[in-house]
Amino acid sequence: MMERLDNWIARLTDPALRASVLRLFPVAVFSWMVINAFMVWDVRDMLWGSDTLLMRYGATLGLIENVVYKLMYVPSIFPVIYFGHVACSLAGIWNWKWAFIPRTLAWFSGLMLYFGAIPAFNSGMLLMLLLAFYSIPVFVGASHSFRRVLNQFSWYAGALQVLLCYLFPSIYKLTGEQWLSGEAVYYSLHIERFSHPVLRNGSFLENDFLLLTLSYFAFSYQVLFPLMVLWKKHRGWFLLIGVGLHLFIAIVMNLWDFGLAMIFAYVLFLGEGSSRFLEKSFLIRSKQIPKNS
Amino acid sequence: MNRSLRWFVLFLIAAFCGHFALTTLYSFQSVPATEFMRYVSTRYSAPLFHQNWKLFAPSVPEYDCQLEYRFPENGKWSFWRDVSAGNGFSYNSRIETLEQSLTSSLAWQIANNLYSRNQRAQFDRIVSSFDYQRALFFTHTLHGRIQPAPIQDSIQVRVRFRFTPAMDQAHSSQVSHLELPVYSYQP
Repeated sequence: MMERLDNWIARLTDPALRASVLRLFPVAVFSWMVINAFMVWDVRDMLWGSDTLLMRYGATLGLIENVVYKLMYVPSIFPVIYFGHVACSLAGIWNWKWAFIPRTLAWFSGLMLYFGAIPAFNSGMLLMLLLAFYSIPVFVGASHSFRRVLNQFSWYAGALQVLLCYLFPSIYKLTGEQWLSGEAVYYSLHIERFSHPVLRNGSFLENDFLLLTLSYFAFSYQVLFPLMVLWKKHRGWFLLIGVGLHLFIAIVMNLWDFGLAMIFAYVLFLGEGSSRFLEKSFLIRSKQIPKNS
Repeated sequence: MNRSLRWFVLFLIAAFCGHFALTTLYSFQSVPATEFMRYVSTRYSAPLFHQNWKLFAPSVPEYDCQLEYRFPENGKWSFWRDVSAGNGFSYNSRIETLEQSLTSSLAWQIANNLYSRNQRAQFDRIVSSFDYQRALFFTHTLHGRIQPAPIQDSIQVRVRFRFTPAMDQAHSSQVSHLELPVYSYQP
């Protein structure tokens, strides 16, 4: 038992283990944070400014709640939090020794922005905030074995969180009737907010067969994700289908933040080859990985 | 193997399991758990690890709802206008997301707190709800920011429901409006 644990720990301290994926992990998460912040650029003052459209309410539970809800009470600090969040997210993208400091600040300021305007965001931001927290300690190239182990635990936590993000809604959806009867996409696309005008004005919404197929496809993908993504052989194709599905959600259902959050989270499941290819494509400089001591 | 590294890994495993156990319990409020466990999971998960995976789950609303409003203008009521579209925001803007979110909460109030007495609809529970006040505040503030003339003395909001026909029925939607009482501002 002890020997197996020691072998596993020795494997965790291997600096080459998931090196590319770990480098891409914070890049994906904090790039999304920056994109998300700029997606609300034109209305940022209406969400968090002193003349906000959202009615303020209080949270009196404890210290952490009061700090996280600070934007509720003191909207005048919004520019500091907003621009600080963008700056820290940018600094958190890079793989450097002290990146955990801006990443922690970006995560916490992200929480403040989320709780300052809850109705403006969805579970895409919640997922990214959780992944931001898990990616805080990631530093590829660390020479200390403790930090290398922490890197791997960051990956475990991030990957498990994405799996749960598919598993939990699947369980909820199984308790309803619409997803099982295949009508969910039909009803979703009849909600103006989640339906592109091209769809609403055409005959797409009258094609029951297509809508049923789409509904069962989306639901099956969600249910199968936690199993399929662990199956190395076909993982790449499965993720590619997922990218298509989430692009559909982003473009057609106008959920850009959610769609991109899911696509960006897929970096955790990439193989070494694909992640290296992405690294090169996005000109991410790979730091020399020290040899395992 | 370095002993301290072994202890460090064991600590990480414990923290990992504890974190996911507590956040899972927080995500599933319907799972039977003792009051103490529920308290611990809620205090741990919210707000730092708050999560909500119920988008389109378990069911999608079988209606589309929009928030509309009107106000006195030149001695008579203005026409009804959509809160976001009427102030120049497109269906894919973040302001429309806000409107949808607030209107969904208001629709929940209507579904659960609208009742009748002596064959008359009673709105007291709805108008005293946070959801109604939030919708009213949003409407009033957005109008004030965009329109040259702010709303002076009173405002009325209504929810426009467009019910989606069942899948195997004719593709024509039924529309209905629920007007909430006029809200007058203190002079």
